[in-house]
Amino acid sequence: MIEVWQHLLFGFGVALRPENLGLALAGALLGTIVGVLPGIGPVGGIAILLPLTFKLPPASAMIMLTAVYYGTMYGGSTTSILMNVPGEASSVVTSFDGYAMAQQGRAGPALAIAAVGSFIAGTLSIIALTFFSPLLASWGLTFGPPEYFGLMLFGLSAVSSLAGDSLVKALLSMGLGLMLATVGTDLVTGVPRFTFGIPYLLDGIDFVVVVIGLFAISEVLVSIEEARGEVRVPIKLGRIWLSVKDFLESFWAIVRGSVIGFYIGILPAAGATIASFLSYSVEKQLARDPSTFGKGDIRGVASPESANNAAAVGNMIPMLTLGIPGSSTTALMLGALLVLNVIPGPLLFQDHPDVVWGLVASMYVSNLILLILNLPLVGLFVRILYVPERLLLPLIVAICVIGTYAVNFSVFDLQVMALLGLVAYYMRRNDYPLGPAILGLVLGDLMEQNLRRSLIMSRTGAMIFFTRPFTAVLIALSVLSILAPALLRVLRPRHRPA
Amino acid sequence: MTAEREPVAPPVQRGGRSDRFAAVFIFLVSALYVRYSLTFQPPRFRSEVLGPATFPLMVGGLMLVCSTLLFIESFRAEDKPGAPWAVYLPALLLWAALLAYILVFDRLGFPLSTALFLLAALRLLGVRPWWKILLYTALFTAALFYAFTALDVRLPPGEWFRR
Amino acid sequence: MRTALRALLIVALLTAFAGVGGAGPAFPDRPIEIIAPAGVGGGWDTLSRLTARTLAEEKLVTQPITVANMSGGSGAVAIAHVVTRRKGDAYTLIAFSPALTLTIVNKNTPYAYKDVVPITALSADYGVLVVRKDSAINNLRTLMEVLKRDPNAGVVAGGSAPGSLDHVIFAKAAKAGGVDPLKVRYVPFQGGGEALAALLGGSATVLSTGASEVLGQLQGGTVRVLAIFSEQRLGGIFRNVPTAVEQGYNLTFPIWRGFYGPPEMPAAAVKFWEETLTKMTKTKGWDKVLSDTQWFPFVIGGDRFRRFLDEDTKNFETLLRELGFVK
Repeated sequence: MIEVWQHLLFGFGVALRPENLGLALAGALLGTIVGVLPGIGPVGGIAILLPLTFKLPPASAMIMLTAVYYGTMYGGSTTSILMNVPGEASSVVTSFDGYAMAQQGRAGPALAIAAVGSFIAGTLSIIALTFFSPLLASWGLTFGPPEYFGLMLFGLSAVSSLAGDSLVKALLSMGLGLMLATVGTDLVTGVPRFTFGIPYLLDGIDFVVVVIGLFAISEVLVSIEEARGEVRVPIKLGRIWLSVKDFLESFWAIVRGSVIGFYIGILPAAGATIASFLSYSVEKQLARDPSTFGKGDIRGVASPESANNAAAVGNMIPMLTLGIPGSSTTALMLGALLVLNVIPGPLLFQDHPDVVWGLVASMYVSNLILLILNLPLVGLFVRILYVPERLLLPLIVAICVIGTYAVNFSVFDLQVMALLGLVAYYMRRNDYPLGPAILGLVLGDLMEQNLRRSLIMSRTGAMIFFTRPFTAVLIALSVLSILAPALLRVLRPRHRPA
Repeated sequence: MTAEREPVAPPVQRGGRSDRFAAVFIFLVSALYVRYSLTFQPPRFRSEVLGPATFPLMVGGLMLVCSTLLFIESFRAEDKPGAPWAVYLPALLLWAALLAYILVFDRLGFPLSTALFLLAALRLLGVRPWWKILLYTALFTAALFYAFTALDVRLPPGEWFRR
Repeated sequence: MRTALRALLIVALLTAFAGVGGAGPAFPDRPIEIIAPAGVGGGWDTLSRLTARTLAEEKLVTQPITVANMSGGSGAVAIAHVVTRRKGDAYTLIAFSPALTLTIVNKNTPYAYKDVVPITALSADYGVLVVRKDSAINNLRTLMEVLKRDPNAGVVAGGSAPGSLDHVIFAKAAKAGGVDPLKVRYVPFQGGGEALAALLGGSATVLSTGASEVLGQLQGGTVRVLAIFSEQRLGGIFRNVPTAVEQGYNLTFPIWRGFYGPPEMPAAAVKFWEETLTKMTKTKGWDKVLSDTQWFPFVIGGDRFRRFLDEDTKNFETLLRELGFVK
């Protein structure tokens, strides 16, 4: 233990060097800006900086890239809350209650709890990372295809907690996401599916394109009706700061979100999006009165925002301890290290302590920088609500178009985005929830692949799912979570004697 | 929406009727999806247990069942008198403007296509008079261009202007 | 604090390493664009960016060079773009590797090498088969014998779909070792990282991939590389790794990386790029690139390169036909 403290102290020595502190600040700022813009998420932000980091010493390069990564996680929630326009898949869940809060004049507290939740989750996760990385990394490795299958199934069972009045509509929405997930080359056989000979479809449809199409474009289309209408309900600005009551109410949601997010982040093939959906669903199922979720419950913001930040930190564990990327973002960072003549692998801690411990220490620092940076920004960001919608809406559309274009520099992606926008507009007008579509898109692919991988690996057929304890538990939980509402309906009348 | 306003166009179907149409539409799309899935040829590969068509067939099946349920459910739902068509018109017009925008995006290039879109959209959203529209268009286009260029995003300059 | 300010300034400028144009030779007289047909950070992207940087730093090209990412379908999107939109363009280079050959052979693009102008290969990575350190399998021969006896004895993991690079590396090795690749279980993962995690976590027994994917693990002693598919032993971290040739197999698998040009690229431009890129590989700057990235030199240009590609394409076609991917 004492050794860790010494390393950490050494790390702070690296992280607190003026130039590294400056890079962390610059990275955090850039990350926040990039995170606020729809389309350019963590991957985009890091990609922008990558050429620049080729010229920095490895430790400084990593400190800056991590700060950007972190900054985008903080920035991602802003447009979700203020405009119901999530910029990337991991902040979709935040929009459910975040936007509802904004409409009730509680945009300030929503943004503030997102920042505070992210800070607490980030800090807790970094502490865990500092002391238990090797242990956690080997836990992550025990997750094989059957475990992932169980996890994805459990994730999909969250659909019932995202449903509005009609479960059928939620399932149809999820089906849309699952259908979109099957587009592209089938990884397990190499067969192209639903690509219609279009080369752009061979790699499948990017999450960001779908998120912006379904949420941002449809939101603009829905708002325009009101923006032009003579009667417009003015959004109350309300209180800007978080009250103690708000904080206490969301405290346990933050803690639970942190734990769930962190563990999911450690798994090399799962990430922030899955973490945010799962923690939201868990929070809703634990709530005494789940009906307040989706209608502006502060826990519905605190939980996914904590989870996606914790997942971002968790993601660094397989990267730092094993040299295995847990997401496309960390894969980019590993690529950057390689170009800087630092070979990422199990010896990273030993051979390049300045990189690793400087990075770990800088995560504490960037986290604090971001909190300090973001709380005053809350006051600035809520002012967006003052901008008349007739000016804001065209601007949002233009930003979405550019942001989506920037993902792959592809006009084809823009066409997909526009088409999905129209579909989602119909869905909204007819009370289909959009969350399940993203859930299906993100989890569908992973569930299918891991199901088939498990069956290829297994020499006992489907028994593989029941002989591995973790998988069996997850499958049981999924079944329970699907059946629970029905069971409750059967049980309830007995408890309610007339 | 507003009760006192006279509907200028026939009202749009909401609730039961709309769901029924949607159910039929989704059913047909899903049937096509299933039909197309059946054409996937698994390679003769030893390790293959579930073919490339299995999962799409499950998804298609789910969609067929759910659209049927929606069809049945729609008879229980009330037909809500919907808003007049005119309410949806601006949204559809904006969408058409978006479509035009992206179709010319790389040919006209970013600055010109964005300016044209903003002109149309601001006008559609009721910004008046014209000089204000022009002012905001110029302002927004310039701001977007500089913001994204500073972020090193390569925006298309327009193929028609190359060479 | 001054360094911090300078760092901030660098960030504010955010300009990549494009050289500033000056009075140079007659050609090229316009800015150059290198297309990396994949996202930022991958092999093609890194090659493109490091080439751009070295060309500028060694003053071989004085015009600004930008790198554009055009991902999709393992090169299918980029080749379609170049063939349809950039005919005769002398100022565009596109990165490629055997991954594009496989895209062509698998008919995931209607175009082929005859539709574009391959210029030169610059560097290479090599195929490897890897097991965990604690595995009972000690060399390539043992692995092949075990699989010959029972094709079900192991699970092979790779970072891409059957019929693409990682899988073809294993299939070629299996054939050289007398094992029917159709009978061995191959589990594809989303990228080399996940495949590596599956190997380390025990879900797979063998990993089939490129050498650069396992650098860190080899150095850290968590894995054993059974064989590297290069002609001769490589230096550096791989100096103790035996080649397949050494172990008695007629088997090499270079994952070369290079550039091609658009269709009907002017002959003078083709010549210029071939010479300039070859010249670049002899500079100190490029030496540093190779040692930083642990890539290996692999320079073949001009007609020799085009013949090499024809042969490679034919070999892959035969192999993939046997595997049932090409009808």
